[in-house]
Amino acid sequence: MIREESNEGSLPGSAQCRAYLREALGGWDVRDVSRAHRDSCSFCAARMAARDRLASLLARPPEIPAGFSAVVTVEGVFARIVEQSSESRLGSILKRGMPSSPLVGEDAGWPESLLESRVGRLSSVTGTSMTGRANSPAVWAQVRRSILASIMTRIPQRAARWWLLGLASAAVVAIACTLLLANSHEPPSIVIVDYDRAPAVEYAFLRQGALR
Amino acid sequence: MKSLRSSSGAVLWVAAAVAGLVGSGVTQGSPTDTAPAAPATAPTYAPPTFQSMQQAIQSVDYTMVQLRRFRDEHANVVAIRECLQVDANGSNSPAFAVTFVGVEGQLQGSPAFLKWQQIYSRMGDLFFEHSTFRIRDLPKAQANYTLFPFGTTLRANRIASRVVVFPQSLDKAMYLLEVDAQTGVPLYAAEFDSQLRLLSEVEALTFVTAVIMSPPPPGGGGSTVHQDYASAETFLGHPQGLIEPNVSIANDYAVERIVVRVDPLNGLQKLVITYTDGVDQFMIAETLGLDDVFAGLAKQDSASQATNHTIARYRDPAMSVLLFWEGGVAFQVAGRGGLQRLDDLARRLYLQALSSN
Repeated sequence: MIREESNEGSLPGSAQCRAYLREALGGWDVRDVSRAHRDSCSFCAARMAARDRLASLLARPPEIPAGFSAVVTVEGVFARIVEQSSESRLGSILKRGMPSSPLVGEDAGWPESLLESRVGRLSSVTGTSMTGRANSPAVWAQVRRSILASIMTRIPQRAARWWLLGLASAAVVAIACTLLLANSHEPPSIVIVDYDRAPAVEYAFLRQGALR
Repeated sequence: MKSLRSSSGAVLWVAAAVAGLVGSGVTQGSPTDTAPAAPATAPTYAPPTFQSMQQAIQSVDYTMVQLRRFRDEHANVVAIRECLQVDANGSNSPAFAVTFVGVEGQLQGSPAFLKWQQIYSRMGDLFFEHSTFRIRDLPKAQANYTLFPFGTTLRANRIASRVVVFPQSLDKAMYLLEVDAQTGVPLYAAEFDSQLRLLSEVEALTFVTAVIMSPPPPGGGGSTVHQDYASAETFLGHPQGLIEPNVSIANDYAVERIVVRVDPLNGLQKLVITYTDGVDQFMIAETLGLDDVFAGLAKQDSASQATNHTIARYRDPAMSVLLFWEGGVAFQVAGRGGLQRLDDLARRLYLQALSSN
């Protein structure tokens, strides 16, 4: 009888197999009938043997690869998630639900150089044209690109400024050295010494006649 | 306006004082020099002008015996009698001859006579070139001097107009002249400084408007006149150390004459550039081939010999002479005693010579 049931039950996925595996894998009390099915069903016996093997493997968690534990990687993953989320429908819903409030006081002030930059002009245009509305992601992306472009242009400007400053300093040093060297040559000192009698030159003869 | 009136009044007062000095005979060297007062019947002549006096140099031939009185720094006076012959040629540089006649109060053949005879044989021409009043540059004379007429008188038995030539700048001499009324030739010239000290005096004794000139000695007396400095430098063979003087400090003077002379005693060549303000002169002479006369002085002053340069100066009321040596050339700057600008001129010339060598 049992054999018959077993033969019936040898078909994988039969009702008896499902009942037994539900009780055995779910941690319930296995009934006698089900225990008899286990002894007679090779399919269920294989499942139970596999469960015992996997249980020992699952008892210790696998090691995380070193690359995943790096902060940069994690932050990159987070950033990608945020970007993907902000572009998604959910992101737009969240943005609409969290309108930004304007800053007041000193926090509201922008640096003078930034206000005069391309970014500042762009910000003022969008601010006047979109008053009362939140800036769209496209606008912010444009702002971001402008900021990056502004920074990139300032880097060579700063370098050029340092070059100019260096050249000016070198010129000042060169001029100062030239002047100092020129001044180091003292003008010749000319001393006038008085004769106590007229020298024997023609003009003295002309004025005094024969010298006495 | 008030100051202008007062200054012109002062000038007239000084001119009158100068004329009065001569009129009273104070400056005369001997009783024979005293000019008699003009006769009441003498005709009136137009007072001389700078132009008429220059015209006389250009067009009047004359022979004149005159007394030239030399004064030294101690006011000792020696009067030399000389004969001047002038053969006009239409220019400011007429042909002329100066002949020594004698020393007043000295016998012929005395040591003083022989000494002065020797001096005149060497330098007689220079007495006419540089020690006789004449208008050397008419525009400059008109710009730098003013004439004040003071009537007429007799001089060398000729009617003469008495006039004071007063400078615009008080570092120059003023002159009292007695100008022949007929020809415009000065018959008497006395030179005073700003303190009214008499510096030189030339007085005609006889004057005739005719001349018989003996031919000039061959070789031109060792002098060569040049049109400009470049031609003189070329004539000298572009010697090292010779410079063209920069006399911008004396803008009222201009180049009058550039002469190259050869000293007959030592054969040394000398470039003499004469500058004039129309009446007065100063000269710059550059003599080639002379040794540094101050070399011994520099060695004695070891502390400053590297930068010390010496100008020797002699100055009395009648003359200023400044001497220095640089680059193988002996420089001489000479002019009137009151012309103290010559000190700065010599300094600048010295610097110019230093920078050129």
